[in-house]
Amino acid sequence: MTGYVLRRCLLMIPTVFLISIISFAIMQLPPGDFLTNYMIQLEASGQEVDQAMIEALRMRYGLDRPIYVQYFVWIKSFLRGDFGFSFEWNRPVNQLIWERLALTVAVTAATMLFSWVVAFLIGVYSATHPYSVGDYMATFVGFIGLATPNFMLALVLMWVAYSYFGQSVGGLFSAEFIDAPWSWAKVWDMLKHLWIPVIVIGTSGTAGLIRTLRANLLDELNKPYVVTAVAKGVPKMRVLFKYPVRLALIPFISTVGWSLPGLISGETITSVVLSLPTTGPLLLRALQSQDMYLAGSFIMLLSILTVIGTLISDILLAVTDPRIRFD
Amino acid sequence: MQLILTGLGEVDSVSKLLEVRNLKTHFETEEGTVKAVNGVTFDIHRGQTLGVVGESGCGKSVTAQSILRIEGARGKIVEGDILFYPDPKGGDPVNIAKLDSDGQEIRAIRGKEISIIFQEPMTSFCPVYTIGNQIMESIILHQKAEALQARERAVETLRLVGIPKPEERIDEYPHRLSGGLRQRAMIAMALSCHPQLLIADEPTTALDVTIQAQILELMRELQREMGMAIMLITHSLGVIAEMAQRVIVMYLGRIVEDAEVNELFDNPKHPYTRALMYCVPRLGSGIERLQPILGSVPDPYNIPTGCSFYPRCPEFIEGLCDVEAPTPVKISENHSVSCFLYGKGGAADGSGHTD
Ligand SMILES: Nc1ncnc2c1ncn2[C@@H]1O[C@H](COP(=O)(O)OP(=O)(O)OP(=O)(O)O)[C@@H](O)[C@H]1O
Ligand code: SF4
Ligand SMILES: [Mg+2]
Repeated sequence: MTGYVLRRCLLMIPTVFLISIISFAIMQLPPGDFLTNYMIQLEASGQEVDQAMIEALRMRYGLDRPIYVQYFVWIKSFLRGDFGFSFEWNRPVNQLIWERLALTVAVTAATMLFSWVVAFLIGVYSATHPYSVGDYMATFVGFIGLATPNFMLALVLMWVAYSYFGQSVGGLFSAEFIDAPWSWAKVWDMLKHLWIPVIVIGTSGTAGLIRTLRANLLDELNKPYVVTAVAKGVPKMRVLFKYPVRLALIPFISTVGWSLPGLISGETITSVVLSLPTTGPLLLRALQSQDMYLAGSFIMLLSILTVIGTLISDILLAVTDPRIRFD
Repeated sequence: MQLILTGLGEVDSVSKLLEVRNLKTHFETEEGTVKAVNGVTFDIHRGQTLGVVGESGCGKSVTAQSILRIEGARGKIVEGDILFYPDPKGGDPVNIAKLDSDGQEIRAIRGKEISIIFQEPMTSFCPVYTIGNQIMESIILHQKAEALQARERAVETLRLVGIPKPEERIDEYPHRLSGGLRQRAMIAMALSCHPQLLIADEPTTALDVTIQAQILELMRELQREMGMAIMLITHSLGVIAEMAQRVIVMYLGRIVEDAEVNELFDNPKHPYTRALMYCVPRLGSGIERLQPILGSVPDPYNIPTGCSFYPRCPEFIEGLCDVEAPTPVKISENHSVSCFLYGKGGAADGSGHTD
């Protein structure tokens, strides 16, 4: 098991290296280097160009050196936590990125937790009571959830929250907390806002998970080992959770890693509608305005998170299914 | 014990372990009711091996499942009794047929008093737990043993069924064992709590020929050592001849012939039994499935009226066999048969007693 985890961790290194090259390539996509673009922008808006500062930046990012040197300069400072400079915001990227990244992780984690708990409960119920009224209802609601576009659900929920609960909707915080420093009151305020995005982003995924879990579990329930366990005298519920549920979760777990990028892109549209201060909208805007250090850093960090997510799901998988460890 | 094994005639009620009376287990399906077991009556005695033989689909497995009440959600025991006598010194029987299939009482019997092994050792173990985990589960459940003690007993049982290096094998996952070893481990799991009855539902069908003989030999040996009764379900009359003291022959949910083993082979009465005899697939010939008789088993939703074998019977009596159902006729002390060739039988309800 330790060997397996170690192997998987080592495998991450080339993956992350590849991702860094792709991120760097994306940063180089716009024509001309970004300093030149920055100067053109400044001149167009009639501002003074500080030649000394431009020179300093040029030296620092090695822009007059060959492209692979530029890459190494970039990756070296990236590893030290210096993500470059956002010319649109006129601030270092790492001042912009961490809070949003943390909020993205919070929204994503809450969404996954929500989908998992709901999908688990409904999936197990549906599979153990197939073709019952409850099962049909779950199926129906599930398909609606699958078929409704997220932005529409977002608009409906915003309207419901506003007109029935009088809650200020949109965003993750009430107005008085937006620029306030972190405190328990702010966390509580965030939790009060979190449910709308969680439901909006989570619903379609949950519906899919329910279908998967139900199908897996129905399959597993018919396997002879279930009868064997019952024939040993093990109580019904214990049999259910020790044996078929664990096996039904295997394909379920293997999708966790992949669902992370999906959640982030699904989150982008929703975040724009709900104006959430997460990474999705910022990344979108950075790409639109060719703010390439910001965009590159985001892509890099989100990809690394996805790789970590995949690693976690692989480890969970190996814990759940010993057959994997031996391959 | 020896007395019981050999002298079937002297068996008294004290040694009776299981008494199945007019058992009917039906399944409700979309296509209709499947009368999988439709009025079977037989006994199992302590330390005895009862062989159950018949073509595919005749209800052998469902009979076995009913005894443990694992017939499934769609199955229902609609009539009859399954009397289990737990105490060898006498005492009241438990009517298993009347128990709640999820209840405490039947769970205390499963795995402890009555165990079952299945045809497929591959899929009968859950792949994500070690065999030790699955064997110890029984021991901890029924013998209230601590984990460490349970482990010791599991190792002991694995040694008993001839698994080499049991202290190491106990931590193996099922897919790491060969088919033969897996079936041995399955037997170990079934016997870990010293049950009084072991039901073996085609325990060797899925195994290689040489392994088949080894497993059967092992079961005989363990029976000598532990004294449990065995209900052995098989397609093979060869296996029956080797293993059983008493045999029931099933056809379409009924018992058509019930006899002591030598009596059955020397003196088969029912046309169906005789047909089976003509094509005994010898152990190891590779043909384990019986396909002996002209025509095929009728659709289980439309069992013929009268004697259910009549469409395939070479000796069928027109106007009788297709109208009336034959009831068991006692031919001798240890032999009864349900066929009009041997008279009309006694009990009108079709639940003739064979003892
Ligand atoms: N869960 C079930 N639902 C519906 N019908 C069933 C079910 N289990 C068994 N049956 C039906 O009951 C009949 C008897 O089945 P059973 O499994 O007892 O046969 P068998 O004698 O064990 O055959 P085989 O030799 O193939 O194992 C068959 O017609 C089968 O289709
Ligand atoms: S009762 Fe008639 S049809 Fe049935 S087995 Fe006997 S002779 Fe054949
Ligand atoms: Mg069967």
